[in-house]
Amino acid sequence: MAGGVFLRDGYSIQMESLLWIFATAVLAMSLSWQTPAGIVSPEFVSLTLLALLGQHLLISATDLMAMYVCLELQSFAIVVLCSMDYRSAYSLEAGIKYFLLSAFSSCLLLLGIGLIYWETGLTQCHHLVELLRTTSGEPSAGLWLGIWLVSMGLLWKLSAAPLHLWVADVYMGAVSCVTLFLSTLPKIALLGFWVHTWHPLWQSTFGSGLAVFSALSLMVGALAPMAQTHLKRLLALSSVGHMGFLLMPLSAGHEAFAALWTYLAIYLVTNLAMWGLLMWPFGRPGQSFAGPQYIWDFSALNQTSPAAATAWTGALLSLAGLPPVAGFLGKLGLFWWALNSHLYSLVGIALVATLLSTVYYLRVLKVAYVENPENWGSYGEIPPVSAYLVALSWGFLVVLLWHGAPLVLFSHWLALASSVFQPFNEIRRCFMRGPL
Amino acid sequence: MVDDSRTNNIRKKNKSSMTVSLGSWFQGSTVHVTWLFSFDSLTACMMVTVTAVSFCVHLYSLGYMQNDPHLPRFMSYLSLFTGGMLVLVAANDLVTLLVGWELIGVCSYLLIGFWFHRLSATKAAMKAVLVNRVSDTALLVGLMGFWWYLGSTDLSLLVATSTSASYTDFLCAMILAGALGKSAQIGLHVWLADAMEGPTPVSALIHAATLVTAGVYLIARTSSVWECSVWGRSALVWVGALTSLMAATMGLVQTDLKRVIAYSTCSQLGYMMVALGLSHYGLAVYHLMTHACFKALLFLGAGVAIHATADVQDLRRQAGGGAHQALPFTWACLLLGSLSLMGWPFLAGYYSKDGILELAWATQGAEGVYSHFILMAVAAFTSAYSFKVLLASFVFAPNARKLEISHPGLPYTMWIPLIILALMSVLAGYGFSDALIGWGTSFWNISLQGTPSNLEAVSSHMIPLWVAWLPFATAFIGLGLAYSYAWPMPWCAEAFQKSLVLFLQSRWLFDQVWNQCVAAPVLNLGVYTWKSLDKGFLEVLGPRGLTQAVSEWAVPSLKKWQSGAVQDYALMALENIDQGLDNF
Repeated sequence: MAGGVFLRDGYSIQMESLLWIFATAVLAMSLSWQTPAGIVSPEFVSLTLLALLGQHLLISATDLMAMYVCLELQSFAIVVLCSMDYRSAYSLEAGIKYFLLSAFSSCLLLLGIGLIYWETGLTQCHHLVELLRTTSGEPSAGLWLGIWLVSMGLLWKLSAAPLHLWVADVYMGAVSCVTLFLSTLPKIALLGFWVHTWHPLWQSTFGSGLAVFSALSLMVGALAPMAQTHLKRLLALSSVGHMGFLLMPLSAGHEAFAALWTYLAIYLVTNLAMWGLLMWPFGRPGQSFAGPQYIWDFSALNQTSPAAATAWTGALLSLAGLPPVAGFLGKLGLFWWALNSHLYSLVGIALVATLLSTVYYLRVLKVAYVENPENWGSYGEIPPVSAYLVALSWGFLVVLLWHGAPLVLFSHWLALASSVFQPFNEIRRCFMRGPL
Repeated sequence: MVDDSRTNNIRKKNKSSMTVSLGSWFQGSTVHVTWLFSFDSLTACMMVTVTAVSFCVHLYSLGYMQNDPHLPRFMSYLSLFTGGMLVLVAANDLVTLLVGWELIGVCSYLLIGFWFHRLSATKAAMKAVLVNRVSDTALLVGLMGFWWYLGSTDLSLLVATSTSASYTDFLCAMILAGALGKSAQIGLHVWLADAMEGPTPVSALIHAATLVTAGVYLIARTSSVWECSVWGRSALVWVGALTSLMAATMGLVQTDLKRVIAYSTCSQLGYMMVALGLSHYGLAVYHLMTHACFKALLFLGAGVAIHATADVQDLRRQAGGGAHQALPFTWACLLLGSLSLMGWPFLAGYYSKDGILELAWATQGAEGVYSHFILMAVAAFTSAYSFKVLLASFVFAPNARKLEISHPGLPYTMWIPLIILALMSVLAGYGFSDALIGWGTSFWNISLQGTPSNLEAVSSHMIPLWVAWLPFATAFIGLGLAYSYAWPMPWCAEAFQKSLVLFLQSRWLFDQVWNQCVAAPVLNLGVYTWKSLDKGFLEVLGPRGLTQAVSEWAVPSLKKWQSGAVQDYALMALENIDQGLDNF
């Protein structure tokens, strides 16, 4: 039987639109920054588009092989992108590490796919779901092991703890525009795939085990950045924490997916604002950099550039999840649904994680607003597109908590359009497949 | 009746009291506290006293404190105090009364420590507040007792009920303890002398006429409860007489002009307490009113004398005979006030003070004998130290330093109040005596409750004539004592006299006892609980423990995972995957 490896339904159309719209913003910001940053890279756009192609197709993938090919497509593009700045050892290190570890995890993922095919002869995910449903009385070790290994591969790409160790080095070493790409778009694609296709498989086998990964990610994301002073490492490890938050609705059940998309959308906007503020030429007396690097670079930011300080405040408060900024809306949805699904200890861990993470977010603000500076740096001229995007994002963040109805409704629609109505998608699939 | 434009309710009931209701405050089970102010005879007497003296003091301060840069703050505190006092005397409920009670306590603190840049003033203010706090606690317990036993804190309840039960003694004990602090009775009197750190108008208003009389008012107001408690009234008599004696002995050896007058206040408060204890509540309030007049007169006059010696209050450094010529009006006022205080015939103090002494003579039993004897001795001492003040300030050879003598003059803002108070010191006694303590008077109506068997209403008017003349004799005895023993030397060269005078000057060592036996152990206990609980237990479970756990254990542990080597990451990932599979 040919075909049937991709499913283009309402859900995937919307997710892909989200992906491309966001990718546009990311590309625009990155390209406008590269000139003042002195980065000349003609292959940047091609590689990014290749990765985006992989991600686009991943969202609609329903077959294990299609998933693997799309994952590899985006992984390879990202590997090259990570080591784009070949003059910097960090960048090369980031590329090599990502390559090696991604290859390693892909190894395991392929092993999983192999095991599944060995046990069942199937690669279509919805077939596997049916199989699991009918054989739920006698679980097959090979199948379960295969599903576990594939899930681990996916979670590795999502940088969920305890598979998160590559994140700090890779995010730090890669050029800022690549880090922005890396911290946002693959997550959209992978979460889109997981919710679209993979979740029933995981749900029937390991069920709420995702809560463990969520809890671990939350704790890592809360504690590890406290020891960091390098901004990109700090944000990398905190993105692990955000991954923990994103995994919470996946452990909570179908109705909670709406919270997932709300949180993701707000997280994306926040990231856009934040990386726009990091992709801003920065100078110290006698030196100039492509962007601020350490926390202490922000000494007396409120005096040197109050607008930047305000923008940072909005972004960091949103990351911390404090009202009156939009991050609170995301967390609100998450906690509400987790409590409804009786995941009390997970919510408790999430609250503690929020508390602890607020410490290091506010520490940056403390340096910017309150501390006596011992040495100064100051921002140079911001690339115009970045300025618009940062301002727009900041505006969204400030307004979204109070006028979040459109976003919440859209998230609900996405949740309903995803794997819940499997039979509906089945029927559609039959019609789409054609005569063969 | 005039109806206010706001929502006040003014009603006139039974021609015995008017009530003004300002709404309800709170309600809990049987207790419903409302902002109801009732104006009956007792309230009227107190309000007349408070407002009259307050007016005089306000006017006087305009002149006395005119060079003070913080005069607006002073005037506002004075007005706030007056307001608090009026709330206290007009309150119909113990809780509302407590509002006024606390307000005047706070204002006392603010006014004593008015010159807050003076360390001794702030210490004195703190002392006043803390000592009053002790008595306020007892009063609060008494309030709870009222709530518990009588089911309500409404004072009008007391008019309607009268009960002889086991708890009346307890309630009276608590009210007595509450009055001990405010009215500076023995034990909690230690704040009154130090309160003279405040400006003189403050002493006149607060520590002569109004705040210290709040305790007396409270006991008079709850007279129906006191009538049921034999123990309570005995306690009042004993405490009052002892206070009187103690304060008078202390006043004899003071060297500060205002402190002498402060101890005289304390002593007269003891008189009022004795009168209350002998069940003649009207007499106590009468003495309160006359005392307010002449004591305020004394303080304000002393203020003028202090101004004339450049704010030097030391008796040993007064201008002496020279002041007699320079300040004739002040001399007249102070002499008049002192004579009234001593009970010179037919001045204001004579009627009230002699009334108390005659009542004490007439009362049967130990209380009567004890109180009469003590109060007569106190009368002699009072006369002694009053004359000592007059002699030192106006008669003896001048002892002031030349640079300290000044002639500031007497603006009308200062002599008008003196005139008013002087007139009242002369006329108030005769004017009010028939109404307040006259035989068969209906003035008090139901505001003061009395059991006929408790009060020697008749026999106190039928005492031998020589007993009635005794107080007059004490004035001359005091004059003689003052003239002979004004200064400690040379008779303090003897060890016994010297130790006696030192004991009196150290205020019967009350301060030492309180500090060493109460304050120091309490503070030590505080240090102990702070160390073990605050800095110990709670910190370990809280900030310090949490911070240590996070920043010294959790974060470094996680930091170690990021070793930087790819193979470590791969190994960790593999191990975690295997482990997870095993667990599932």
